[in-house]
Amino acid sequence: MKRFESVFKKIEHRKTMVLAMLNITNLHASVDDKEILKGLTLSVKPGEVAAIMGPNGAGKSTLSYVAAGRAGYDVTAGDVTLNGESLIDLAANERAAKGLFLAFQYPLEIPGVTTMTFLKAAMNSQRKQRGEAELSTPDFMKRVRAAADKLGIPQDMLRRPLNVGFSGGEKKRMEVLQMALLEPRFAILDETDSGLDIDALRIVADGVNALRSPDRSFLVITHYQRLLDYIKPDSVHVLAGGRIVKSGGPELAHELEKNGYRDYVADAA
Amino acid sequence: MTAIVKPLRTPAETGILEAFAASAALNDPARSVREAAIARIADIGLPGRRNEPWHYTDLRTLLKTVPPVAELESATALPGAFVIDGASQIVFSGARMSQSGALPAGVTLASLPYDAQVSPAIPAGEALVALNAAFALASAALVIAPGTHAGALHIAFRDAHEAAASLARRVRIEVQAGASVTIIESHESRNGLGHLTNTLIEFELGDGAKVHHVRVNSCGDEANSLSTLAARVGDNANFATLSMTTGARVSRHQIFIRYAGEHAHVALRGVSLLRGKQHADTTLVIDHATPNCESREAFKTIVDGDATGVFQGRIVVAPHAQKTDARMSSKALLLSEGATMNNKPELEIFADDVQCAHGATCGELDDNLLFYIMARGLPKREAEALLLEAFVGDVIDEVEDETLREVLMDKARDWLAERT
Ligand SMILES: Nc1ncnc2c1ncn2[C@@H]1O[C@H](COP(=O)(O)OP(=O)(O)OP(=O)(O)O)[C@@H](O)[C@H]1O
Ligand SMILES: [Mg+2]
Repeated sequence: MKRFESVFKKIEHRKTMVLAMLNITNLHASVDDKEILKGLTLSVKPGEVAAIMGPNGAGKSTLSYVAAGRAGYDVTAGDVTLNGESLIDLAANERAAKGLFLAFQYPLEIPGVTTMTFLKAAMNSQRKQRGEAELSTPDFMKRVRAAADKLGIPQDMLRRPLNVGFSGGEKKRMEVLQMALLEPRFAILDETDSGLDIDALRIVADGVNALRSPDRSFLVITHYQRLLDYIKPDSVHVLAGGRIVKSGGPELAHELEKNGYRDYVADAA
Repeated sequence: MTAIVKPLRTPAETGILEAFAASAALNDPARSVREAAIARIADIGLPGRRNEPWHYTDLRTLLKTVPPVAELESATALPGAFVIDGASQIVFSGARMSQSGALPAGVTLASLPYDAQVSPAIPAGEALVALNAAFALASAALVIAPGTHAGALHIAFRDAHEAAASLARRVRIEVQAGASVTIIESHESRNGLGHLTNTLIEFELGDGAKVHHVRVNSCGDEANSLSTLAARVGDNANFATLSMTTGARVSRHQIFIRYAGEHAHVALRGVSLLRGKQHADTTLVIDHATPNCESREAFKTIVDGDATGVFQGRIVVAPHAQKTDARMSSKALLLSEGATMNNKPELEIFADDVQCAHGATCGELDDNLLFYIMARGLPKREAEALLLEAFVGDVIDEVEDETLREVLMDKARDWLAERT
């Protein structure tokens, strides 16, 4: 029995080596004819939490938009694959249905659409595209209540139009609520820590940690080591000038906190 | 020297005169009123871009042909006709009016010969009203006695005709002091028929009267639908109307409001959902002739395909109409390259102590919002539908009656679902 198990483990391990969950290879992308991503390569394994740090304007959000399928970005070279499947030609909703989630740096306000309505539409739409049955209203309500409680989101907020008049921190919490309900395979968090107070940071980090699992990965974009104290990354990457210019373990974040980006910015330029 | 050169008659103008001459049914006790009206039309022609209120809706060219006057009730029923649960029905089919179920106590309905007297809210010699006078074969008067709470009455124009017809009708609704009523007005006909319909609805609100009016234009896709709504509003009266247009190839809904007392409140709302080659015009004139009155106008238009939307709103505040409070907004969303919206709000203020505001916007759906929603899993058309539903829902939400609100929302959702 034992021997078999270890054989299986080996095979599984080999598979993950070959098949990274998210694979970005030599990605070049421009917006309005301006090249922002200039040959970016990065791969994230199943269960891995990868952190990206980098100076303002380096292309971090651009990377997240290109991965999520926002219109207006020209991918001129390279590829982004999720579980071995190229995402480049898929619409944003198709990528979402395949398990990609982006927590926005600046979540948008949707006037006239209550948070509840929005959450239900999103969950059922993804289920439909995957050929799964729609959630019943009671089942949906139960899930939303439980997830909202965990994130300290009051019920009455769910009856308000999504993000309209929400504070910066409330909007970020709402992004994490959406992530928790949509249960993605791969989540990109773009500065989810900015705008959060000290308590909210812990709540949100706990929310993310609760979702960590061997078959779910995260790409956490942040400017601050503090978030990485709560969400412990497996790898840290420096994005500067549209490329990953340095990769390392958690210690790299500490080094950046101390020395800043001066060593990398010169390189990238 | 400038000479007044009368432009050559268009096929529609010739058609109008021919249809009038050919109809035996128009030879009735109202003949002298009709002849005076048709003489005026022969003289001035159909309204078109030379007439300012018709600048964007040139009937001389938009109307291609004029079908014969419908003389008989259609034999067949219209499939899936629009019905409101719990409302008494007054049904117009062709030239015939019928009533199903008893009218509530305090409500009387009479069929009347056409008379030349029209609501004082209507400008003298107005073109559509003249056409109505020439052609109307059904003319009815509804009276709600003082203090009566009449509930909901549904006036259904249900034209099941299987050939194109000209159909003109008129309903006068007098809501006497302290009375209240909800009027649902619906227009339906078969697709593919170039009907020419002309409806004149005149409200007279006594002191303290309250009217909720909801109009639904679901005419067939080739219909030409002309409509005039006039209301004279007494002291402390309350008049609210919402018109939803999804049907007809060419439509014009014109609203004339005149205040006849003080402290009255008027709310005019509209939702137009247009696609294909539809042309839909909403034109309103609010005459604040008295002090201390309020008016609110909120119109939303969604234009898809090669359709055209028109909104013209004019608020006139007379010199002595102090403390008038009027706010008008018209917002449009264009969903395609071929879509057009003409938005023309106007204020004419002759009093100094008033609060008046107007705003008109015309834009597209926000790409950033669409991306955000799509990134959560909704396909593009569903993401658009979510935003569009919210866009029109905002106006529909103002309808007081919950059943009607739901009916209107469902109609909007049906329209959106046909896009996805
Ligand atoms: N439409 C555009 N046209 C030209 N340049 C653009 C456009 N959109 C973004 N950029 C530029 O692309 C670069 C990368 O922007 P991005 O938002 O990806 O940076 P970031 O790394 O997320 O920065 P931050 O840390 O401030 O969030 C910036 O220099 C930005 O000005
Ligand atoms: Mg950014």
